[in-house]
This record gives sequence, C-alpha cells and structure tokens, in this order.
Amino acid sequence: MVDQPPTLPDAELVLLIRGGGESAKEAEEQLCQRMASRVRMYLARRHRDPYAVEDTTHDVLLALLEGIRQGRLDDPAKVGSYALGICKNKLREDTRREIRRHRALLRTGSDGPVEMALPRLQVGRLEECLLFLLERDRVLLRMIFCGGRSAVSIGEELGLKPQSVRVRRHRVIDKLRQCLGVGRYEAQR
Amino acid sequence: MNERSQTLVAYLGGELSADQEQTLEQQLFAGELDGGDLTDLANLTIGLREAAFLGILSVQVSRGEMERIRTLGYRILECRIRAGVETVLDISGDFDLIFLEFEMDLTGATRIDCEVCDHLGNVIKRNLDLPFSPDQKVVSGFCARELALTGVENNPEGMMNRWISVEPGGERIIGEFRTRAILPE
Repeated sequence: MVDQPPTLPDAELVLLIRGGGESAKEAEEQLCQRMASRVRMYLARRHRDPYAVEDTTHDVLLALLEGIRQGRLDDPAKVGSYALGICKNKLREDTRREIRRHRALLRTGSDGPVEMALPRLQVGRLEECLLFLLERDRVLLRMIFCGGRSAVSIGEELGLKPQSVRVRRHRVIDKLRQCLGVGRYEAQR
Repeated sequence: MNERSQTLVAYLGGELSADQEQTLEQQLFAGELDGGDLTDLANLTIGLREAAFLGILSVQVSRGEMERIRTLGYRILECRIRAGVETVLDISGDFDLIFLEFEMDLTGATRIDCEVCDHLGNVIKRNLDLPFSPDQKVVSGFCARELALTGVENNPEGMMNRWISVEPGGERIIGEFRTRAILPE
C-alpha cells in the first residue's frame, strides 16, 4: 500500500515511453503505478462490482500505454485528460462482458507494469480488521463503499442526521485504516 | 481523515454536485490528488467490495442489494430458513453466492445479536448489535459459495444461527435456525 514518491512529472514519463528502450520500461511502470489509483477511484465511483473495477483498470492502463507507444497522444501534458477519456470510453462497454473477461483473466494472470500497478489489500487481513468492528459499523462501510450511498441517504435509512453519519463514517474508516496500518501519509502532512 | 480523504469519500458516495464531480475528476487525473491516502482509499474500496461479495463484510444484505448483485451476472442460490426446524441446503449446484432469509418476529426488540454455532449449539462467533427495523419479518444475509463450503467442511454435522434480543432485563432468544448442507460429490 505504499506509493513511490513521484519523481518525474507525468508528461516527462510520456516522453520517456515514446523514446523506447530500458528507460521506457521504467517510465511505463511509474506511470501505471501513478495512474492506477486515479483510475480505480474514478471507476469505483461508477462500478459497484470490485472485479469489474480491477478488470477495467487493467484495460484502461493497457490502452493508455498502447496509445502513448503508438503516438496517439499529441500533447504529453494532456496525458491525464487522455486517461480520463479512455476511462469514459471503457465505461461504455457492457458490465456483464467485463465480469466474464475478468474471470478468465483471474485464471490466466499476467505480468508487466499494469499488473504491478495494482497493489491489493489482502482480504484475510481485512477480514481480521473487520472483526474488530461492530456489525453496525460494517453495515455502514458497506453502504458507503459498496452501495455508493450518500450521508443523506444513509441517514434516512438509519434515522440519523447526515452530519452524524459523516462523523461515524470518518471514525469507522479511520479505525479500519489504523488497523490495516495505512494512512501514514496523512500523519506526515 | 484529512480534507482530501473526506472529499474522496464524499465523491464515492455521490455527494458532490455534477460540477464538483467534474472538477474533482480533472484534479484526480492531473495528479493533484496523488498520494498515499488516494491509494489507500482506492484499495480499501476495492477490498471492502470484495469482502462484501465474499460475505465477510457484514452478515446482513437486503433483498434489493441481492437483486442488484444478480443483475451483475452472479448466480445466486436462495434459501428461506425457519426457526425450530432443520433446513437442508443443497449446495452441490453451480452458483456463486448463497442468499439466506431468516424468518423472525422482531416486535419489541431494541438490539439484536446473532450467534453462529456448531450443531450442538456451541458458539463459534457472536455478531453484535445488528441493524434492523422492528417491523421487519425477515433478516437476510449472504456468503460466497467457497466460504460456505469451508464452513460445511469444518462443521459437517450442520450449523445453527441463534438470534437474540438484548433487553434491559437480560437476553431473549428470538429463534434458533438449524442448517445442514448437501455437498457436491
């Protein structure tokens, strides 16, 4: 769960990738690592299925690298917008097909910068941390992260004010992140 | 949580206006939100969703949520379970998730717990303070087939869920629900 500190701006990584060679490989890894969290966050807002998010993230990163290598990105400074555009296009694809493809991917597996760009939480570790929470808090986590529910909508269902939902939401996420040993970056700022 | 994390959680919950959302997405892809907390939250979101699909995030899931999951292409085995009788679950078929509905009367209850027990009634785990509404007649939950198979392997003679109302004067058993599974050959 640890990000490498960014060394070069996105645009410079694009130029290195275009240049080819050994430095292009390293630049691809760095760009994928950096883009992966952005893409996953964007997709998580729209896809409820975790496997579809991971699958589509792989697709987006592959399409991004392919586009850069083949010179389809005119202005390296616009690599962020280019990646966002790819995300939007990918989202138009059929969700069912993505799930089926993901299942096939799970069986075959792959290496390379795209695979390395997706650090994963160990579900076993997460399960241990979830055991320390009240079921009420676990339900709240599911409503937020799996149901994409707003504080207002959760409050209506649980009979709470939106502000109280937000306070509980912050507490439970902090508790979970602390147990998982993440969030160290916030402490440093 | 810092302000950036709070904004990202609000984004995931659909709390931002269309304009705010568009601005945030531009910032996101321009790298302005990069950092450990972005990675953490992205990982947490995916991990929790995976845990939810495996049935380890929480015991309860509504029928509406289950129907939404079904539309994603998951094959779901549905079982209705009544108190006081043993329900046989045939889990030998081809499916991804088991959706269980426990029939119970929650009138008068203010807090309910659920004990997961072996076939003799020995408690394996107790889930505390489950959310419910008093007019609810069914409490539902689900788990992944693989998880159910592991549970059955560890408890081949069956399992029991004991639902308990925790009241000011003590505890009252709402119902004991016994299940025994038929495994694939």
